[in-house]
Amino acid sequence: MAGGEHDKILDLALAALTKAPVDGGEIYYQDTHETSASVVDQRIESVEAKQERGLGLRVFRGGRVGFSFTPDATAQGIAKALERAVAILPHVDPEPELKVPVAEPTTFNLKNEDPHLSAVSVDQKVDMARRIESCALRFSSRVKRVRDSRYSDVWGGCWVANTEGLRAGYTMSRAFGSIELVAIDKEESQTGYSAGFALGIDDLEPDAIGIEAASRAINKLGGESVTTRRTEVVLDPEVVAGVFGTLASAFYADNVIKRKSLFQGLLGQSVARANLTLIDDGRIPGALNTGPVDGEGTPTRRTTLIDQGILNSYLHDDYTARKMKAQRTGSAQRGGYLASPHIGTNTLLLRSTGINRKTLLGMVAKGIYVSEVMGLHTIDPISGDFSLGAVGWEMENGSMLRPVQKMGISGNVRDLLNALAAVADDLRFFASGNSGSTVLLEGISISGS
Amino acid sequence: MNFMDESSALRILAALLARGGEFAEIYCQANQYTRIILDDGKLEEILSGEDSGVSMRLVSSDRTFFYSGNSLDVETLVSEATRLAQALEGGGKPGSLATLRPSEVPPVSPIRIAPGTIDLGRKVELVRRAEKAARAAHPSVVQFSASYGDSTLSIAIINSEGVFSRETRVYSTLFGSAIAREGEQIRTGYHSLAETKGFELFEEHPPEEVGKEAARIAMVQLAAKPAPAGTFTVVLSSKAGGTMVHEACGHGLEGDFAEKSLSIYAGKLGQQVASELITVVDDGTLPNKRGSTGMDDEGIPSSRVLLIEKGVLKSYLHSRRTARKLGHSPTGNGRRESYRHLPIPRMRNTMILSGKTPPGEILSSVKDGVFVCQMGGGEVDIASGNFIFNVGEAYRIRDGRIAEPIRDATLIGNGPEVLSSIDAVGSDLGFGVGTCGKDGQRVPVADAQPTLRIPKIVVGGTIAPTD
Repeated sequence: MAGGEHDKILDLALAALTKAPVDGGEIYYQDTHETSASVVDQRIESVEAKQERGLGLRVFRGGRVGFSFTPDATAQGIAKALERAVAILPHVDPEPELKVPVAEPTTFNLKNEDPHLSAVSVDQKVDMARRIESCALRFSSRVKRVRDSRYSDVWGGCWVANTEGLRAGYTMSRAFGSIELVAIDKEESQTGYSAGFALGIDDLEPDAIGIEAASRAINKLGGESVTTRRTEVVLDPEVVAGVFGTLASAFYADNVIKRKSLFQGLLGQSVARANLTLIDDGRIPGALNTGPVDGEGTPTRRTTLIDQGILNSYLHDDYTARKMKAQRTGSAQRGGYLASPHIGTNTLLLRSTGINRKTLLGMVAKGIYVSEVMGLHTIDPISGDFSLGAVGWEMENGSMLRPVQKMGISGNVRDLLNALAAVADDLRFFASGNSGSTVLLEGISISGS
Repeated sequence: MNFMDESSALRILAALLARGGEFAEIYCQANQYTRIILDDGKLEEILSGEDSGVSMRLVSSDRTFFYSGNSLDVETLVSEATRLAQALEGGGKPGSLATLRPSEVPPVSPIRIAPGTIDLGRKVELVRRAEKAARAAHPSVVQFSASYGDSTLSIAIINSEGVFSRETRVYSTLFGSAIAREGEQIRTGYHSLAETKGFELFEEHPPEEVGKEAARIAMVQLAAKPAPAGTFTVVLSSKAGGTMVHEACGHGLEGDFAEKSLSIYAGKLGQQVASELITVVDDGTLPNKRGSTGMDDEGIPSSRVLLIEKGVLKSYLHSRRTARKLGHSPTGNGRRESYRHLPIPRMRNTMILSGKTPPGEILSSVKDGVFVCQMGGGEVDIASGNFIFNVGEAYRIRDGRIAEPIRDATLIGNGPEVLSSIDAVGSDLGFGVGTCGKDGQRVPVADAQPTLRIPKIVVGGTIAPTD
């Protein structure tokens, strides 16, 4: 993008804000490009290019906030959005702690983009999608069909400024590779999916993505039912990433304030077995959600949520930090210019209990390895109850005995956190934005036939 | 809304087809919406704005080239169209362009009170009334949240086959979630109203309905025992809506899965895939239902599609692309979340049609089982047909009668196996509403089914028989 264009737009909006009948305000400006190339049977299915450019405006008056947005970054467009945001103010209830966030200096030296990404040609993108597919197909003759083998990327920037003098922002880029395929054996079909990401196209690993998706599908073939029982369970890193990603909202301070969190009132108390340490980090080099500031311009940081089993912190934006007299954690997230900021995670990760995956698996005399789950959205972040569908392996003495499917795993997250016996040192970052490691749980109830 | 005149549209289409291609399309959208969120006793957030933009697509030898952006400026679009056309090898002659036939698609859902004519204060009042009713329902209801949403979506679809169709769709929703607490026990209940209807929806269904029903379900959950784990006979009440049909067969019948032989239902047209008692349709023409549209998002008029007739597979759900690939006719199921997305085959209002058995008879036929009155979200693995959905309100059935409530159950099964095993279909029909996600695109849907008996299905619960 042209140098300084975002500054001109922020200036234009700030000028309008200072004349509006409000105490103060904030502008968020997004200018991003997304492209993708999709291939099936080595043939191009689609080539896409999307441009997202627009601003989101928050106005503050007497503890009330109004939000609106516009793709039209001209003075007229901004004036219209501002009018809509101001019109909202009389209708919302005030919260004295809702104020324009105050600036906090920060330094950020992590490499967060590949400057060459915007110049990658369509042919290079198509070629990457083709390589992922051919790796998957070469892996096994049982991989019969590919739904979508895809390269995609995003680059651009987002900036935030407010009437308290805050001005921050950054540019970033990420490239993704993914494939969804089907393995077939006799009458049975099973799907496999895998995705990877990096700052630029050159750092993607098409072989690893293709092979992982293929093996995921193949490993599910021939899955049998399990018998209903209580057993030791090993969770795959991707399952762990999904489970903690869903559980994350229980750490959001706004949910705690509204008494809608499992962890409400438990700061300083034990919420998990002492070997569990859970961290949120906005500054992991190359992670999906890494940047110097959050959606309100607050510097990102590393926050220990659970420290050796003890609940240590919630995740805060500017408002909840004021309200709960806590430190801001740089957790205000935006879903683009159309959405107002809300608390969310940067990257969640579990600290290893100092054991490798092989040793962890060896600890299981008889148990179930869960490689995929369905229905993660059924985890209730208030009560902690969950009930998931799962596929995986029956395990004996550390090795995979036979594939199993149509399992149900149910329980309560509180019990699950206390059932955690070991965390391996194989931490992986997934394209979903979450990370996970292999985890061993004791005494989990499994439903089957 | 006009978006653009015929000559501008023709310029853009001609630029798209300049180097060849079989099909070119412009999709314009302006979505005016309001969302109001009440939580923890406070009117927390109001969002209002207009999400507008344009996308263009060029299809050549089954390859799709797509652009989307915020700008409606014709010169910008012509230059982006020219850039899209550069992707073709060139050397061919320009693709053919039919004369445009401008038309306004008549609304499938009559709208009496346009949401844009109602001031914000009256909309805010709805969530406050829902809250008051929920909190008044029982002292154990300790928390309530509600969200109101309306959307007036204007679209124009212009393509090289001469389609120049405009449609305006109006959506109104009110969602309530109540939390009941007694001691350490915390349970949630929710209820929603969602139709393609204007503000009159809330004259027909006062917001108190949402508050009271959410509170009632939360209280039932509070009294409920943990669900048993194991295999049971399950009766799905018609009140439970159609999540089962949506997951167990709807997704598997979407043409993109069928076309690439990815779905368990692929290549099975004319074959028995369900019990003879089962007939499934997807109908986009039902007035005011949440999945109804006048045309789909590719300009194909909406219709009723017979998917399964007496257990025999009759059709898939098609977009233009998947219909072309399989040599079938488009079915009006090409939908997209917004101008940012390519259309893909999606469900609209999907239902299992009513049978002959009185619902009470189905219930009383079960000696020991589970009665499901509310279904939550679900998920399906297309290739294997394995699905899961979670259960909101449910009870044990003992000796043909509804017994104690149970909570935190999920149903885990295989689509064709479950549909083939259904051995009783009720004479009633109940609708549910939802927002269906696929490939990162969310679209409004409804589903419906009569009371059904599934003789054996895995119930995922916490109480193991050995406990």
